[in-house]
Amino acid sequence: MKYLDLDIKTINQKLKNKEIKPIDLVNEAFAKIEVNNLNCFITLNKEEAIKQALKLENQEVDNILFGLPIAIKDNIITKDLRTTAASHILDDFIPVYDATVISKIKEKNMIIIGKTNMDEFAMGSTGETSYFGNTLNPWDKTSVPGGSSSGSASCVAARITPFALGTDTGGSIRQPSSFCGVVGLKPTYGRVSRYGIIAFASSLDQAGPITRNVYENALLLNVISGHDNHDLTSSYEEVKDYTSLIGKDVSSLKIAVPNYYMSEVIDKKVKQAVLEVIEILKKEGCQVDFVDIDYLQYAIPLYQIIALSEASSNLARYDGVRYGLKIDNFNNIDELYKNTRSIGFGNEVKRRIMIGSYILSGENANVYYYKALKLRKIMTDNLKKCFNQYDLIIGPTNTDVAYKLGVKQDDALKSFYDDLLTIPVNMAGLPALSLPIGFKNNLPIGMHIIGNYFQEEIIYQLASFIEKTLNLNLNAKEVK
Amino acid sequence: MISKDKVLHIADLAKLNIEEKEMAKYQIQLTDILTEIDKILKVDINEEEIMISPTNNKNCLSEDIPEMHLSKDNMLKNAKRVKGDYIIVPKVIE
Repeated sequence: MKYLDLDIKTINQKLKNKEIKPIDLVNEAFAKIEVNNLNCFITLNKEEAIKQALKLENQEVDNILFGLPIAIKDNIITKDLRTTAASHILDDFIPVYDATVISKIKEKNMIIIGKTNMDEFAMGSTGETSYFGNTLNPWDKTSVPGGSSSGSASCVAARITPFALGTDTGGSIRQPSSFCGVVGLKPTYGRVSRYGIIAFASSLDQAGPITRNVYENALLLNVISGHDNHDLTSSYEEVKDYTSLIGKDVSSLKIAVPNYYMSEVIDKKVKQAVLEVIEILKKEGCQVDFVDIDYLQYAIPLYQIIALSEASSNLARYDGVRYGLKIDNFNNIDELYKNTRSIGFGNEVKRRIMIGSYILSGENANVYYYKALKLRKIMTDNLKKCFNQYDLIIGPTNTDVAYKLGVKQDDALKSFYDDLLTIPVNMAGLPALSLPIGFKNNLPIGMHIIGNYFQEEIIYQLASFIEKTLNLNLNAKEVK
Repeated sequence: MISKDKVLHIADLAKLNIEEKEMAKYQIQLTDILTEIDKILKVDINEEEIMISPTNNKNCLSEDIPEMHLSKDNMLKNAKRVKGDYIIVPKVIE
């Protein structure tokens, strides 16, 4: 019996009836990891997971996530469990405390199966910049799984775990979710604590759930949300029950489709799939309008300036003096820094921190960085204005479906262009979800649903309606 | 395309070494990104306000009460060399 293919309510019932035990789920997850060889994980938590599962046998099943396996992106720190951010510079780093999101899932007695593979320091959109090798896409092992949360999306798509946590700075939850045919949400900035998440760009980073379906996504968001005294950018906004509107009537929803999201750079079949969903929504009674939102077209250069500047500052801490990689060949402090970082960082990371350092140096800070901060304000105001009239914004998550491994590896702009449609959401700090809505050449197409601040429940309301109406078979082809 | 000297200058700012064999690649790639970035210089905006972060939180002050966070053992766990209660680090002052 494959229990991990069942929905969460059924698994929960079986756990309550003692028909199955947490250890059955844990064993099944580890068996699937071995058979499938997707390189989803950097570090497995096998011994601890088994120990915890056995311990839970004597405890009451007191919540719907009790005893369920979860995979954690390797830039979220886990006490006593190696956390590398997929970088050589951190490959022996053992955290001494848990990120707040980890404490929260542990409180619910979820079981951490392992730390998932990712692009190094979350910089990349294919999973290929990992020091530990690329992750495979369960739909087609010759295609990229997307990134940077490559392992988290791939492992949920392969039904190894029903739940995973990812992080999203410019699209790193939504893009791989789209390529792997799973549901991924980037919450409103501040909805989820960033405490214990290895920083890439602090004003854009946000952790969020990756799951098989919409309902289970909302369940996990319920658990990880909330204000945290350890993260002063985390919001005091009340945590809602994010499942509350799932299954509710959507006919009164007003939906905007920015023309930017349906331009000529979007693949025809992807656009067609989105248009078909729009037809369904109109038939249901939703108001769906095509609108112009100005300044979205500057998303990429804006991201390059803001994200890379913040990254260069955040990654300055990896200097060979403190934790992480240590080298012996240096004659002075400058050589220590340079030799450590040159060996420790991969190419994508080096490129990004070089650009970031350059932008912040001398007069460039005024020329580029401050101009970008003003542009960020305008882009955000324009998105906010759209929400005065509409409940949601929709479009495709990506310009196309997953492409072949290796094809764009030497192109410095590629990973940025993959995030063309997802970046504006991080700039404004809005919540957004990627939902599978169809296939092109047997590869999943993702739809992007963007909500107003702290209105994740409305995103889930529409997503669950589309999910139910389309009723797609989302079992990946290459999974045993 | 940006010069080799400029690549070396940028690498120095980020505290990275660039090997001669990587030079041509970095010249192309950094030029590509910097050309992309230049697009925002042409944007005409009459906005004076800047946006640093999406958070709406105002001053977040916490009470000044000492709390236990990490034990001494935990703090020393990721140190490569330890002597007694001290972490031995490379010589950083010249």
